[in-house]
Amino acid sequence: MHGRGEAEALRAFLAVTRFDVAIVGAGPAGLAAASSASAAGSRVALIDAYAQPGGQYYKQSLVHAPSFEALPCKVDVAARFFDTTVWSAALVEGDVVLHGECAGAPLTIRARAVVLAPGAYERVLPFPGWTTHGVLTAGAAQSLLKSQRILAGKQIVVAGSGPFLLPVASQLVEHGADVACVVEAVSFARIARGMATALLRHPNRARQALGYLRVLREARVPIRYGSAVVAVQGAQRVERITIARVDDAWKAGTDRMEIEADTVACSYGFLPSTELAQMLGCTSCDDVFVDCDDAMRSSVPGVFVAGEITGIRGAEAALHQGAIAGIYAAVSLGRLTAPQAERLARSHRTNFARASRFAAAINATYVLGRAWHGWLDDSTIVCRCEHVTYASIREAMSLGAQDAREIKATTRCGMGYCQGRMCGSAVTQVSSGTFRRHGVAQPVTLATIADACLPKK
Amino acid sequence: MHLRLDAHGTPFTFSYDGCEVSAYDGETIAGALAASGVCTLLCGMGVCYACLVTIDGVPNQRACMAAAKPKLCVRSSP
Repeated sequence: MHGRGEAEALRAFLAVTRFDVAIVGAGPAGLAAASSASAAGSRVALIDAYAQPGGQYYKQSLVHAPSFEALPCKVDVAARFFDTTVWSAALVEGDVVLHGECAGAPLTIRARAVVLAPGAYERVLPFPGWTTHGVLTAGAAQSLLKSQRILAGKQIVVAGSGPFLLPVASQLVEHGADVACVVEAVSFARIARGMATALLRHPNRARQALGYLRVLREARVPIRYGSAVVAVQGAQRVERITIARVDDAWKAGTDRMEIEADTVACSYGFLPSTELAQMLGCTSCDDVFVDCDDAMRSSVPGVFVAGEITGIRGAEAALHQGAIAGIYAAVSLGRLTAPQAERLARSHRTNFARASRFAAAINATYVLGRAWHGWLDDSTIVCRCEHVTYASIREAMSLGAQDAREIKATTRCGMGYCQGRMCGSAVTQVSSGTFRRHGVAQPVTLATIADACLPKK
Repeated sequence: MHLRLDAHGTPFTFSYDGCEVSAYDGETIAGALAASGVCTLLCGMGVCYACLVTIDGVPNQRACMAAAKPKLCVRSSP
């Protein structure tokens, strides 16, 4: 944390500093971008909400000394602004101006170009009882283990859909957790059909998957394919978990079982953090991911994107995209010529394409079933921030709300602290359209906004 | 069963709704609570705001992002 004097000195420095490239996010994509942009002679600012670089994938230990050797790129090449939340991005006289908050103090960073590499967060689907203590995301359970060496609970069910369930479950098992079962909504037949070719073409990935499966088999952890956690019961904490067989559309059948466990770690894939890109006016064809070309340029000049914000493809793809973004950000500043950039980017393009093909198989296989909302009952809270129930959403729809935005306007669903990050996907699924976010990308105090907007004395 | 896999250094305590919770350096408030059996986390990465607590009178702080420190007074509601 900065002392008052240091904070003032930093503000004075930033007031007169114009970076070449500001990079938002110090995960795989951001680190690679920082590395390639600075290798090309650009003056880089690297910004991340955490106190340490690495993002979620290269998450550093909080209880042991962090080992930066584990990071794929050097971080000492950039001016580092960690523990810094960026809540606003705007184009001002051709520059990108980022307003942030570092340890409660306002911060403004100006740069000629920006690389947005904010990563993704987990999609959670609501189900009856999901607001009970002990229901958390698979990523939260993993992060608690990786960064703090704490197990989320005594008996853990890992549930949801997607390949991420396996590493989480096997890491929990390897650290002595009692994992009751893994529950995967997609059927085994569909996974075998969808992934067979991709796994044969990517032997490293196949070995990795087999490794996870071996750990689970040796610990006798059953994997229930074509099933979902459709409800949990418990007062102070989760006590019982209801698992139902689901069909290909994830409609729950009457075949149900109850098991005792105190924790459900769920994950239904990942969603990109697109707030800043939306604010800067970057287009999105599918209303989910930000559009870009093969130089990682978004639709807005000077704004580059890399990593999960362009499509969920995992850390390896993000590293290569980040490197390409940094290279072309340097081109936009005249630090590299187009032929130099082509040469530098070539291997990254090849490797990105390869990682991307594997990700495409995953994304085509683990598709969200359209009938999951049959698990909900009227009293299930969909929007936790504003306590909006499924009944209220259906009522709004019966009164004429036609899409996510109208449901938001009538019920306040998605208007709370998380700005619809948790419920947005669910509301979109039961209706249509998407939430739009405006003005402020992260909750900040009025004092911070005032500091950024009002003239300095 | 110990949910905290290894503990380094000397533990300290903070209060959560009047109860004493022990914690170690480097742990977050949500982490220390989880280790004591109270799992208030949802996303665990500062996105969902489901773990908001009041810390020493300052409301709406994310327990998953705030470091546990000795003698903090943490409340689950304002």
